[in-house]
Amino acid sequence: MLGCTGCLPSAASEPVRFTPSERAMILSHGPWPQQQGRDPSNRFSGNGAAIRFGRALFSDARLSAGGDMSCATCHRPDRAMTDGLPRARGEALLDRNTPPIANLADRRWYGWTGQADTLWGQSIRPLVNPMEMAAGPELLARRVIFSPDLARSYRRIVGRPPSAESPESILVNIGKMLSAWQETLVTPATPFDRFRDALARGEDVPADQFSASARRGLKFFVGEGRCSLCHFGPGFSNDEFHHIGLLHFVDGDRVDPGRHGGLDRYLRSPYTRAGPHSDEPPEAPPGHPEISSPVTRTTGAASGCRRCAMSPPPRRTCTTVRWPIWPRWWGTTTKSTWNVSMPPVKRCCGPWGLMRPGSGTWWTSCGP
Amino acid sequence: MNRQALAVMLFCLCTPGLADGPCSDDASRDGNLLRIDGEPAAHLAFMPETIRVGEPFAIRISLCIPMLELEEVDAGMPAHGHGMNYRPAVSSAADGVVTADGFLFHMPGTWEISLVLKHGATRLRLVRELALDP
Repeated sequence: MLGCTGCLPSAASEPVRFTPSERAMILSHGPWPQQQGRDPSNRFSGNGAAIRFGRALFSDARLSAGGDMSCATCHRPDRAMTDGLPRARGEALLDRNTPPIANLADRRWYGWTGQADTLWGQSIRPLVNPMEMAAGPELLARRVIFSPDLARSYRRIVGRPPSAESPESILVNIGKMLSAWQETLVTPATPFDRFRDALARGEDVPADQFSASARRGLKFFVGEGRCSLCHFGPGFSNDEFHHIGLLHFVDGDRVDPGRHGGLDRYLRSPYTRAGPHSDEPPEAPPGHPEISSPVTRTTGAASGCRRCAMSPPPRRTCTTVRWPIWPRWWGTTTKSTWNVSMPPVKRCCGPWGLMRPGSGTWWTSCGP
Repeated sequence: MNRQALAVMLFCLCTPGLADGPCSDDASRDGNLLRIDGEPAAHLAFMPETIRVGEPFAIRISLCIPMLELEEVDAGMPAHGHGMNYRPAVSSAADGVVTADGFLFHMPGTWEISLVLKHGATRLRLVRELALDP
């Protein structure tokens, strides 16, 4: 069907003109990148040493119970920080695919169901979730305390040795340092952004930099298609949750609680902006964006969409097949060469004198 | 009690002092003065003044008729058949001023802010329509 793009309407040869309202909507999708502030709930946000340590931790399998899985196992740098699988696999098969992680600063909600309102809170969840990395606070604390390199870095950044801290504090600080690094992952400007910036200056860009088919797709996106109503703003998302017609059941007979489940987890979590581990002052300044009473009547999922085209959920039938103009336009909002420089994944955990959970064996050697 | 009778009664009970405040006719120019049969009933002041998509805001609601109480305040997009994803928290202050905090309009387009005012068993719904640009 996509092959028919060229034989579609004669409009292909006509220059694309945008109405004032379409033009306003196009301009609302930028500029990019956006300026981002520090996370007030994370004292390590913007801290260079914490960012470097967070980057190293992201690839460190010692953060998983089995010692064979790191954050980068699923959020693969060579796959736009996802894994290309229809459903993520940690210690068990999960219900949703691995979301790509980029452009995460200053978001209102995190996770497919919005179960966290802080990036560090969201970063803690897979560490302790029995279906993902399955390392509880006690196990994680022991590994940080008894791994000299981790203990040294931790002490330098936190100012106290991990042995002087509670497992809960270590877990929270690890989450905050992972978050400090993830905040720095920002996708670069794209062909669309250059077109949008030129439009703002009253200029045009050559057709070889933003093709006629891309312009037709963009016109549909901001106009008749009304896509921009939800895929709004510079991030192409309004960061909210919508019923998008997904099935209510997982594996045929299990109810997917969707946003309701996410809110339930959020309301029970201690890792929130208003929770005991937040570094935000108790007296929030005027204009504090916290929403006090989320309503539990929506389901579905939301995600910033700047990196969607790099990692569309596989095996999902969607409307793109009915819109031949869509792929060409949407491809201009991404940059296929975006890669994240990462250290190699540490597959081993070293001789810590710790017993591998459930195995009865000692970890004394490193795997590949 | 029908709507006209309530309006006449409310008109008679209006306190003159409010005529100089947010309930005065001068305040109606911004479209935020809501009326019952022509009589000022409530004035909305947005905080911050400019509402943007995806940014939380509060509304300070001045009730122009002391005998009326605010029972409910909410917002939605009738054309889309949905409301907000959040429920505003309402707190009362003195002199008939109520603050509703926690509004967030997550889409551009036409929104309706609705107030339900009550007096005894009578309820009236007032609507402020608001077009939100991208």
